[in-house]
Amino acid sequence: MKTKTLFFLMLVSSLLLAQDEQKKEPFIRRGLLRNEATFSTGSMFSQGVTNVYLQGGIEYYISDNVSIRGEGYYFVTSLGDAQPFAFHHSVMSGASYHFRTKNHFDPYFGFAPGVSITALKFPPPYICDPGPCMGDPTPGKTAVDPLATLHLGFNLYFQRWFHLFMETNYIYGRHFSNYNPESLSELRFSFGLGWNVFVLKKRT
Amino acid sequence: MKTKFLLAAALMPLFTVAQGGNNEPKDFESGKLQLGMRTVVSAFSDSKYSGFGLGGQFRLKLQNRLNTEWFADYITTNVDDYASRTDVHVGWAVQYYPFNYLMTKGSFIPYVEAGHCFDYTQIDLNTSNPLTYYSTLQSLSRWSSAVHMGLGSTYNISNNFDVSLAAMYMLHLGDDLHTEVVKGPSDIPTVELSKGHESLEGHLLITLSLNVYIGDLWGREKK
Repeated sequence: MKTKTLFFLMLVSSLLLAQDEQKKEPFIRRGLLRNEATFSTGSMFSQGVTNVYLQGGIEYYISDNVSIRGEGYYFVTSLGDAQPFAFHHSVMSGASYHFRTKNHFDPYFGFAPGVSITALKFPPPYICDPGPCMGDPTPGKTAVDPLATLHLGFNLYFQRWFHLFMETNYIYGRHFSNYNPESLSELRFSFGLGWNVFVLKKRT
Repeated sequence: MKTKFLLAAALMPLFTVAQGGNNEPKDFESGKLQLGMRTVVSAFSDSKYSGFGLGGQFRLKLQNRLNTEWFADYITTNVDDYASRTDVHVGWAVQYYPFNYLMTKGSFIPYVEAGHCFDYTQIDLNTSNPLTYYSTLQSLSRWSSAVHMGLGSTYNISNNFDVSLAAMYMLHLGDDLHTEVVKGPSDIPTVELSKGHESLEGHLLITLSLNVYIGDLWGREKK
């Protein structure tokens, strides 16, 4: 893990140095369209659960500093013994503010409302612990729950077509079903290679 | 009657401020259409439970200082862990800009808003909670209508994108839904759902929205 982190940092720094050699003008601008597909992981601290998602997103820069985006997370599984969810898919739509730099580095932060489609896999432990199960010992019903997300991350664009991205999302929400409400608060991390293209010509 | 009076009193300042627009420049702002998403927090309701949700809206400007907003919200609320309440609002509002009104980068635009919506509310009991084992009803819903009024402000981060924060008081005109813990069979505490009589049930609605400029529908934009 440590080796991978070091390797990644070296890669980023060498790419940044490489950008320095080129003409110093902002790379990001209005008309940039980027998308990505990757696996992301999320930690739900209140339940002690780590979830894995297949993530896809698309983002369009409506001005030099602002982009709008939509992204979806398809729940794959939870890692470890705790498996609270039958599924926990989510979609979000929002915007990001980008700090313009004079190279290909693109740090940003943003906000996106969203919804999750979630169902609990088993009755929560409090139903059956201690003693026999009380009430309705069936899986939770499917519910659509509102979410709000704050995101922070960066893109590192190559000369054309591709970029590296890394992002952290804090997600807030609560799941309501036939059981007690479950917190959906989660910290999600994603990293990968994305694809980009300018759909508008540069203004002269 | 009381509601009508309250509404008239609340709208009066809008009309008064509107009289001061004689030296207005030509209307170049009308026709501007925006589309947006928002996060909604419902607080200070009569039942004291706070809700959280999301929504969407589009805004269509009719004059320099006059904007309309058409919105839909979906809000969920936890009722003491034994029930959940879902509210859906579909409605519209008028926004009046007493000071600045130009949608340009860096502009800060405070506004007064008043509007109306239809709303659907449903309360579902959490059937695993012991308080609900002997409840007569598991779910209850109602349609009603609501009026709201409040203050907000918009900050234009770029010429085609803004962030708005608004706080509105929403007054529902219709039957109210209640949850109450009563003594059930053998004096076991039990939650009962009930529909109250026509009443004025209010709550504060705080919205944080992101709005993207889509276009000028009837082309009066200043070139």
